[in-house]
Amino acid sequence: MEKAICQYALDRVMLYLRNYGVEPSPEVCRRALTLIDECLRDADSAACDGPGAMPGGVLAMVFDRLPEVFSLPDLDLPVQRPPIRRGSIGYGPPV
Amino acid sequence: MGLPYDLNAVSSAVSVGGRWQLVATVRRFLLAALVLGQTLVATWLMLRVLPYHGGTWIEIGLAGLFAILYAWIAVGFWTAVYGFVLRLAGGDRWSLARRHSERDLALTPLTRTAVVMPIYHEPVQRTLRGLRAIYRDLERAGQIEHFEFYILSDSRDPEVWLEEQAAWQGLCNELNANGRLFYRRRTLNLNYKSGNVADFLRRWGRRSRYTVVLDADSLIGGDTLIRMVRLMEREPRVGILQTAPGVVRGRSLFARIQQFANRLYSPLFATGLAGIQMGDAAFWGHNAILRTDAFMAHCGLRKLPGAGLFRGPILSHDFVEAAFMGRSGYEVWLEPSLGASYEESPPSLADELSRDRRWSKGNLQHLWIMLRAPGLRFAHRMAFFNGIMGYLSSPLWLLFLALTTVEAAQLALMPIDYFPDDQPGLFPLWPEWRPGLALTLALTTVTMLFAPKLIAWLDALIHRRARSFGGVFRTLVSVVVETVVSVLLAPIKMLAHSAYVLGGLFNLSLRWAGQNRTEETRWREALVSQAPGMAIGLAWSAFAWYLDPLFFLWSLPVAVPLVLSAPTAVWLSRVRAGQCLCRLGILCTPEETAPSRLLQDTDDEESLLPPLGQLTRFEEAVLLPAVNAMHCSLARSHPGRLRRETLQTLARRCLDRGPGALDRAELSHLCRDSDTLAWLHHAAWRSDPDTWWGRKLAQAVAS
Repeated sequence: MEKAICQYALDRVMLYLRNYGVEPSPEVCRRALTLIDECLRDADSAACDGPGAMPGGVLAMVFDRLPEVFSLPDLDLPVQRPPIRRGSIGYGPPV
Repeated sequence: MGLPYDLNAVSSAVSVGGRWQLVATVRRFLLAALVLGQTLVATWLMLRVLPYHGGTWIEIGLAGLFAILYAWIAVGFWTAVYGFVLRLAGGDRWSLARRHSERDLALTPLTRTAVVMPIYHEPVQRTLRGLRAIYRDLERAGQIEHFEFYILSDSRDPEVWLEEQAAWQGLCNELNANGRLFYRRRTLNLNYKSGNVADFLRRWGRRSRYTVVLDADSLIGGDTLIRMVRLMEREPRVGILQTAPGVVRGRSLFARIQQFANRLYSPLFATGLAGIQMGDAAFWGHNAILRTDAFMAHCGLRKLPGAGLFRGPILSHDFVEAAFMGRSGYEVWLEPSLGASYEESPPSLADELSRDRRWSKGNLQHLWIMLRAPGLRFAHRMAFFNGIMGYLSSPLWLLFLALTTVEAAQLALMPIDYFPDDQPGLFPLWPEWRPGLALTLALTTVTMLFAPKLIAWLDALIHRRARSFGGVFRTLVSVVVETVVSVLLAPIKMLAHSAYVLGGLFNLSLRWAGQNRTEETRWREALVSQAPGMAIGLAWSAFAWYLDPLFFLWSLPVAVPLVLSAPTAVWLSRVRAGQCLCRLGILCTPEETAPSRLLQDTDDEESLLPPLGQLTRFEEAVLLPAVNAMHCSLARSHPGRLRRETLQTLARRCLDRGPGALDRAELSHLCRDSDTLAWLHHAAWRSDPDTWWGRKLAQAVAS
């Protein structure tokens, strides 16, 4: 049976939150459901056209509003490189 | 350039060090006398064996080739004997390690040292698990704060470098190594590995006094790294300190044979070589520590200005860097007593030959530097010659066999020529056959080839190492197995190396790629790649039979291995065969019988990355928030209007039709732009369920 859009939205929100390390507690589920409920109510069929344009629809709206509903933790990114201390390579006489 | 350590504190070491040149000269003269004397006698015997005693051009050629090849073998033999004697005396008292007491070394403060691992399309998880083991070992040694680690990638395939970056992130988190373990990928691969290291040095070379260079399969124990740094601190004249890495982690029969040979024979050869080269040793490109400022100041590699092979970037950089370091007045030492330094063997003959193809071209290129670079030490020119001969000996051997066949054919098919090549005088030259002398000469040569193996076995008995190889008897059986296989491999390698040398001299292009370190050789692949050798072996032995049954018998040691080359290649690549012998206690090595904590760590199969599920590394990079943020932080923002338009078009195509709609270069282009990668992440999570990314997310939810 084809899933309803709300099921897709809930699955996706919970997956997203899990990737941020947010545990799916009852409280988190309730807030996610509330977010989806609001988005279903407000959704219009926003067009998605042209390079650079974001997809529209309920799911887009859910993910637009998600940071307002959940305070996502900062991602701990490793330091890619230390401060640069440039040096030069010396070349001997030509061979 | 200022020397980094207080010279007063190391004055005694320096005065000892100052006298090594005299010892080295004596040792080298003795070696030269032994090799040349023995070669002269053997060549004289060879001339006695030849029917016309060198009276024809073919026989002169045969004797000349024989002399070169015999001298080459004699160098190896006497190097092993030197090593045996030095080890019998308790080690070389002139070596770096013997100059300082354990107490003095322990009191030597450490300084910041960079550990760099250049990689290029290597198996990511396996490679970084090795780096993780090194890191953990240094942590156990309690000195991690003095070391920084750099993964220097040259990988081009986005699936590979995205995985490298994700694994690096995982490793940083797992080891709590944020700020100590760094990752850099060059987007422009210039000058192969040496260019990658030079790129690192230009950016961060002034951060650390020493740089430890690793290969993708390198392992070095924490205590060894610490000891290397302290030795460098105590020996300010030393520019490069090279360890003698042991081969480990072999699983296939081929790799286990290589690692057994390395672990049993290498102590002799490495000790002998170190005793002869002393402060003029070579750099092998990895498992070594460099004095960073000296290396930067003197070891830049210019492109070769000649023609063909001798034009363009230097392919094999390490020997050249050692020679340049020597030219600048610094010493280069090989120190075999530094344990816990390891590398891996290629898993199959095909992989080793593939590596040899690159190395042969690189070594041949050294001919230009050997002959033309000004100011190099004689010992380093000899090191170049040694490297060149490592490959050039194969076509010389092939030529020797060809001339032998021509000689045999002339004797069998043509009437005897009593006045060959304008034999002067009235008296004819009677051809003589001396099969007894020929056999003696052949046996002498074989002894020279195989005696080091038995000496190594004896060395293992004397130094009570045989138990770690499976016991006295099993070690001897292993030596026999290894010898049989090396006899089978020698003609195959001879033929392949001859082709590589010819290809190198004609400057045929080659592909520079990472090694396969895991897969077995398939029958079809072996039959196709070994078909020329099998055909030559069959044709040659048939011709030998046609000429003379006795010559046929002489041809068999070369012809039979060639005919069997395909099954040999397949059989040797089998992991099951290697493990079967392992269970029988054959070809065991100390690292297999009693693995150190460092090696046990590499067997920790715990993945550096979360399981992929149904996502590729690119899909991960787009979808997973932490991974996407990490990739964005490593990528750059490209503000140009045209580039932005191109990237937006690519991103739109990728959003609508998935990554399959982009080729590898387009994907790579896209992943290198932080704005586009971030845009794709947001757009993919917003996608409707019936879109490509919507379906992918549904799969991720389901898994």
